Formats: sequence, C-alpha cells, structure tokens
Amino acid sequence: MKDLIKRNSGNFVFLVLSAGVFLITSGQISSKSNDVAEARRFPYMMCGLIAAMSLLSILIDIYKWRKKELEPQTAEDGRKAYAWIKTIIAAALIIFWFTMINMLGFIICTAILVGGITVLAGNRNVISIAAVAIATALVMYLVFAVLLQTRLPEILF
Amino acid sequence: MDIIVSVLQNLFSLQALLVLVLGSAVGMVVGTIPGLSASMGVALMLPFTFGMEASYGVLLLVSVYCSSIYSGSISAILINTPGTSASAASMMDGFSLTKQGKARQALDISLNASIFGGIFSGVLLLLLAPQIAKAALTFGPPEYFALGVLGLSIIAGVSDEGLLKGLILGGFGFLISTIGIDPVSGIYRYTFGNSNLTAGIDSVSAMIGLFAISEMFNQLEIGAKRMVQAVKVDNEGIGMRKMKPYVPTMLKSSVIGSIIGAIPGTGSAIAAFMAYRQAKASSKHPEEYGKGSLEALSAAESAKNAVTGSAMIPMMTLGIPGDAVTAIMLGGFTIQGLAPGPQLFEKSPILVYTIMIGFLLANIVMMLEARVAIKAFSKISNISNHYMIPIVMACCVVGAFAINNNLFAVKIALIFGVMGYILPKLGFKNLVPILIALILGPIVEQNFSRSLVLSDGGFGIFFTRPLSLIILLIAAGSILLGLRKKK
Amino acid sequence: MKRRSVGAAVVLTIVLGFGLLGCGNSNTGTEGSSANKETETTSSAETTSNSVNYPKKDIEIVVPYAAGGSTDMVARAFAQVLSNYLPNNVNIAVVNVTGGNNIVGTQEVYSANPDGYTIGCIAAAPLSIVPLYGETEFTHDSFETIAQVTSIAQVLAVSANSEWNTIEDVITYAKENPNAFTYGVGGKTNVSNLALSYLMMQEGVQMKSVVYNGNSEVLTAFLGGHVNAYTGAATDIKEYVESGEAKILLNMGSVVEDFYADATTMEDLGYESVGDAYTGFIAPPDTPDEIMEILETAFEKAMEDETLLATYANIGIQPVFLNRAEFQELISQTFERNKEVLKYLGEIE
Repeated sequence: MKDLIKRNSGNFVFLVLSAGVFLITSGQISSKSNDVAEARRFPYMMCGLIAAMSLLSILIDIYKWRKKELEPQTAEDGRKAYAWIKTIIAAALIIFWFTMINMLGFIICTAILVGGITVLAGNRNVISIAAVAIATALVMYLVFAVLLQTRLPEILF
Repeated sequence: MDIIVSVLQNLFSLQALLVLVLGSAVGMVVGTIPGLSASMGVALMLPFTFGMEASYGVLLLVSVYCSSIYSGSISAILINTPGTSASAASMMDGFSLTKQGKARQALDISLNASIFGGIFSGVLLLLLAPQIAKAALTFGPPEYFALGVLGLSIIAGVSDEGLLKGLILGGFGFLISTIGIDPVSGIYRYTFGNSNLTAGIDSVSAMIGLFAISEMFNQLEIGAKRMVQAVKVDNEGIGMRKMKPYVPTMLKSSVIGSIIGAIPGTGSAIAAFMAYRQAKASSKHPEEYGKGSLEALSAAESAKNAVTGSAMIPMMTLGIPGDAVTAIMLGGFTIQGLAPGPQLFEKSPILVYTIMIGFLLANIVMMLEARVAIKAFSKISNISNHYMIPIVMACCVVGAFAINNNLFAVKIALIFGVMGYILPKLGFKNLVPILIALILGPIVEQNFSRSLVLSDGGFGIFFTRPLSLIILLIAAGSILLGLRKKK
Repeated sequence: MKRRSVGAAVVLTIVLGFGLLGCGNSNTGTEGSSANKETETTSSAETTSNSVNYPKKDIEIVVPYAAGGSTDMVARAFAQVLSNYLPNNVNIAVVNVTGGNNIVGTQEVYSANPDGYTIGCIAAAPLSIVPLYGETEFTHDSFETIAQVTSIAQVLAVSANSEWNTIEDVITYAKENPNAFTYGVGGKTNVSNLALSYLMMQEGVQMKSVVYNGNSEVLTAFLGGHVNAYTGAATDIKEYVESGEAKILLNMGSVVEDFYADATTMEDLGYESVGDAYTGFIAPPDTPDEIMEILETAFEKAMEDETLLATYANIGIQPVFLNRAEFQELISQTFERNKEVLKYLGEIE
C-alpha cells in the first residue's frame, strides 16, 4: 500500500491540486451566466482533465498491482542522501538576492549569490570563490547596466 | 534596374556592413543569455536607430532579431536552458547530444539549419510577401483556435512516458496560463490581489525556472565535477555538405515555420514544436527523437528561424506585426517616419528591397560570425561545475529580472525552478508539455471565446468554416496517428 | 590561444561599435550640455527651484505598454529631447513594463520612490477606466500628474466597400439588427470600447464587441473581414484610410487630423466627446512639489522642441498640452463619466 502511494505520489498531488483549484475557481472567479465568454470554462475543464487523468493513472496502477504486473522500478542515479539540502540553500540564496537587492544593490547581492552557489557546488578554494563571485558580479553589471542600459537596483547607502 | 543598383549600393557600403556585423554580434549575445529575449534585444537597440538612416536602422534591428532567435539554441544545447523560448524545442535533443559528447555537431546543425530556415523565409519575403500576407489575413478566431489545438496536440507526440502524464502536465500548464486578467471577459483570475499576477505568468520566466534553474538544482544535488560527464568528445564538425540528408526535413520544417510566422500573433516557439512533431511523425527513426536526434534538431531549428523572415511579411506589407519582436520593429519604422503597409512598397521601393535583401545578408553575416564563435562555445561543457553552476544560476536570476525590470519575475522563475526540481521526483520527468500549454493556452482559450462571441454561442462555427475544419482534422489525425504508433 | 583572441576581437568590436553608434544617440546630447549650464536658463523656474538639485542621476520613464506602440513612441520621443530642458544633462531611459491591462506598469510607478527618478507615461485607460473595477491599489487621483502631452483620437472605421457610409447608417443597422454589427477592440478596458459603449447607451442600440489583445490584432481581424469595424487609435489605421481601403466613420475624440477631417464626431451627434486617449506623464504619489515643478516646466518647454514635433508628425499625432492641475481634472472627469457607462453595461455595481 505504501508502495502504491509512493509510486503514484505525483498523481495524488495533482488530484488534490485539481480539487483545490476547482474550489478556488468557484469561489474567486465571478461569472455572469449570460456571458458567452465564460471565464470559468477552461479552468474547470482543465481541473477536470487533470483530475481524470491522475485518477486514471492511479487506477491503472492499482490494477497492475493487483495483477502483479508491475514494471521494475528504474534505479535512481546514485545521489547522496540529504543532497536536497543543497537545493534548499540554493533557493534560499536566490530569495536572499531578490529580497535584499534593493538595499544592498546589484553587485553585492549577485556576488553573494554566486559565491554561495560556488561553495555549494563544492568549491573550497577561498581565492577561487572570491574571484568568481566578484568577477561574475562585475561582468554582469557591465553587460546589463552599461551595455544594455537596464536599470539595476543600486545600493542604498 | 536602377532600383537594384541603389539597393546594392546601399547594402555594400561600410555602414551597412558595420550595422549587420554589430547587430548580429549583439543579437547573438542577447539570445544566448537565458532571460534576455529577442524582443528585449531589439527594444534595447531601438534608441540607437534614431540617429541612423532609416534603412540602416531597420537592418540593425533585423540582424539583432535573426541572430538572437538563432543563438537561443546555443545555451539550449550546451546547458539545457533555452536562451529564448524559440529554442525550447531544441533543448531535448540538443542537450542529449551534448551529454553524448556531440555538442559540436549539435551546434553545427543548429547553425546550418537556422540559416537554412532564415534564408528560406527571406526568399519568401522577397518574392511573395503581398500574396502571403493576404492569405494570412484569412485566419480569424476559429482558425486561430484550431491552430492552437493543433499546437496542443503536439503534447501527444512529446510525452514519451505516457499520454496520461503528458495530459496532466498539459492541463497544469494550461491552468497556469489562465492566471491573470482574461482579456476577452476582463475577469481577474487567480490574482489574489497581487497586481503582478494580473499580467499572468510570463512564459520566459517559467521556462527559465522550469528548465534552467531546476537543472542547476539537479546538478548541485548530483555533485559532479562537470555538467556533462566526460564522454569522449567528438569534435568533428558538420559542414554544409554533410547537411544533405537533412534537407528534406529542413524544407518541410521551413515551410511550417514560414506559415506560422506569416500568421500574425503566433511565434517561433510554436513553429519549432510543430515542425518537431511533424518531423517525428514522418521520420524513419522516430525513437531517436528526444534522445539526441540530429534530424529532430534540424527540424526545430530551421522552423524557428524560418519565422523571422515570414514574420516580417505582415509587418511590411500590412503594418501588422507577426510576433512580439516585429511589433517593436514596427515602432522603429514609424518613429523614422516610415509607415509600413500597402503604401510603403509603392512609395519607397528602394528601402523595401534594401531591407529584404539585407535580411538575407544578415543571415549570412550571422553564419560567419557564429562559425567562429561555435568553436569556442562547444568547449564550454568542459568548464568545471564550480564555475558553471553559479554563473548560469546568476544569469538566470538576472535574466529573469531583466525581462520586465521586475523582481517578481525572479520569484516566478524560482517557483518554477522548484517545481521543475520536484516534479521528476514525483514521477514526471518530461516537463515540456507544461511549456507548450503555457504558451498555447491563451491562444486556444481567447480565440475560443471570441469565436463564440461571433457565433452567438454556437459551436458550429469551428466546423462550418473550411479552414478551421481542415486544421482541426489535421490535429485530430495527428493525435490518432500518435496513439496508434504507441501500440 | 586562437579562442581567446577571437573572443577578445568580438568584445572589442562590440565595444567599438557601441562607441560609434553612441555618437548618433542624442540622449546624452553633446549639443545639450553647452546649452545647459545652470546659469543659463531655459526657464526661470529652474534656477529658483535648483535648491533641490534635481535631477542628479538618470530618470526612468516607465511605459505600461509594449515597445513600438503609440504610447511607447510618445515616451521615447520625450526621452530623446527632455534632458535638454532639465538641468544637469541627465540620461532618460524608457522601460516597458507590460501586462494585465497596463496594471503592472502603472502599479510600478505607484509604488516607486517619490524622488522624481521614476515617472510614468500613460494613456487614459489605466487611470480613468481600470480602477473602476476595484482591483487596483491606485485610482484616478492617486498619482501626481505632470502634464498631458497629446491626445490620440479613437475612431471607428469600416471597410471602404461596405454598406455603411456614415455612422448613422451603422446606428440604423444596429437598431434593426441588434447584436449583429461586430466591432473589434484592443482591450476590454480600452478607451474606444468605453466610448462606443457610451454611444450605444445613448442611442439605445446593441453591437457586439470582439475583444482582442491590442490594436494590431484588431487591425488584422478587420483587414481579414472577421469583424465589421475597427475601433481604436486613429494612428493605427491611418495607412489604410490613405490607401483607400478603409473609411473612418466616427471620430470619438476631439482631436482632428487631416485624414479623418470629415468624419462625424461625437459632438456632431450631440454627445460629449469621450473617445480621447489622452496621453500624459505621471509621477508617484507624494513626489515633492519642487521636483514636480521642475518636471512640469520641462515638459511644457519640451512641447515646443522641433525634434519632438517632427517625431509627433511622423507618428501622426498632435501636441495637446494640459498642465498638472488641468490634467488631473480631465482624468477625474472622465473617471466619473466612465463609472456611469460601466454601471449601465452592468460591469460594475
């Protein structure tokens, strides 16, 4: 049983998601019944599609499980345990970037982002870390702010 | 005769050459960096054109356009991130080829096919512009709807891990595309009071997140030394002569691309996917598609660049932009005092022909520049992950910001990045259906609504109009064929 | 080795090229700097309010419209010449922030720092129509208005060989065939949609609106014969009127250009002129008065600039100027009137 849920985790997620979206749609989106351009039409349709397909997938899987016709699980490429923590830290760095950029400015935030990720990637050489962080931030600044004239947030101080 | 002489004089001047070389270089840089789209590149060049003579100004924009559409594939192939959404279809095969050590070949095919498509549409532009434009006008809301459905049917051909999963992701992508203000009814959907969401989810940010940022997350997790495991790198190039076996594919794809480009409101991404689909259906080796098929790559690439020339057709003959980039070019024309449209051909034939032939030249210049650059580019996959991952991540983040100068796009990219990272773990490995549905959703839905407005709610309108009926039948046929082949 | 030199060559070319092209770029106007010392006044208001020393750095104009559109071109036209009328010779950049019926860009101006370095260029809809739906933080008088700079008349045009020769023909047709006449419009909250709805409301007729994404889509549909009429900016259909393929039947605004000089106007029909897409510049709320004065004067002076007027002529628009107070007045007036129209249509309570 646990196996079943694990194999179909994606399907269950989508099933729940489609139900959720359906509810939000009914609640949030107003609809005038005499309006031909019904705004809820396609969202409902898609919720239905997703729900139907994920349910179907789950049922097919149950059927196969019953008949013991399951295909062998494809082996996961050898990833170290808890490697997903790196992803979380990387995501946190990106959040840091767009949260602090209006205060610390483009160059500092980008340098921190690059520096942090290069460490996550396994770089342990301090000089190399600093070099790539600063170089990348400066080059990006040159390309975006100077060459392409995009407005980049500047440091507040 | 003197028209031809003047045109040639215009084109073979130092200024023209400088403009073409510069434009191609800028376009190539802008196109490769994920987050900087072709329209951004053209918009950024717009102020520079004010001080120039009209034809040179337009040529500058044209060369930026062509090369940025082409170069999006460079990053698609090398680091699994399309630089522009047009290259999304090249990503699957392109990156697989890189993983097999054949990056150089992939890049060569990409360039050659792009040039093929570009010149094909350029010739069409030169010879048949007015006629094609007239034909394109016959597409009304029902036809656009049918075209969108045809585009969506690609999902059936792309999801090789099961139609059901493809449909789920497609439905999901479609749902996401409904976020924002529905243009036809004016109703706010899923905006939760956030003004940034009123515009909907930009497909470029979504793409950056879904395919690039998630790939970087994956790389971090795997913790390898290089992005692409050191395989024996095959640096043998593919010159023009070796392209012979791909010519039929490229021809068909260029036709598809040219048709899509000439129809206002569609874009390169859709053309590339359609050509991909068509090529797969008629290929002798369909099982290779998605795993590193050079043929697939040639199809997608020639289609996407075939859009560039034909998108200029409605722009120049009717004054109607064929896609977002030509919309900006249109503005460039107007500010110069030129008015694209029926009168332009009569009043300024020299200008018109300069632009059209200049377009062909731009493609050639681009090819020369790219050939030089490719040798360098293919070595990129050798760079250590210590540098690649952070730099690419930074490009994605800054690029997402640069789309609209809006930090919100970065948040969207991050969310999609996390999504793209988690979904494979939930069993959904091929995420392309999300992108396809995200791009095509609005076209399908809005034109469906408009058609119903025109027909007062009658569904018959899609079947009584011959053109939309034909397209819908093609779509149905292609889905059925796809299902059959699965058995 | 070869790789590096190629890369270096490419970079050098790009930099050189930009340097060369930059000479033609009039933004940093080398001609402007000589005429712009602080002692030389292009307007006396500048020296008196220079106690504020504005502007000190580049100014950004946010345009909530796509690049290449008429509002965008107006903004760019000003970006070219405005620095000649401001002290300190700063750069002026145009940034397009599109999306959501112009809401995203307008919101950006609303929440920007009120320091005068971010201003917006808008046409009528974001301030006088969109807020009526109640989903925006800002409303018609939330901003500090700088000035109105032009007005783009919205028109209704039909195919030259159609059965309708005057707007009265159309109205009669609509009376006899309710909901049969179709017109394309570039957005639900576009000025032309509201103006035509207003007309329908007054005449008591019903026509079908087919809503597209922007004027060029409407033009495409119109040329392909998918809708009976084009409604939208006059500038977008100018080409076709001049070539004889289309005829403008109704001018919903008050601006008249040559190519539709004999079109019936709303006033001719006895109604208010409601179809003016007035375009102007705004600043974030609470921008200090001194900065607002500098800006307002600069814009007023820029309206006489020759390059600007030439660009205007190219685009096909006329200069129309209203100062701060007058512009705000206009916006609020149209806001109130639009409220009535929307209520009549049942769009809002």
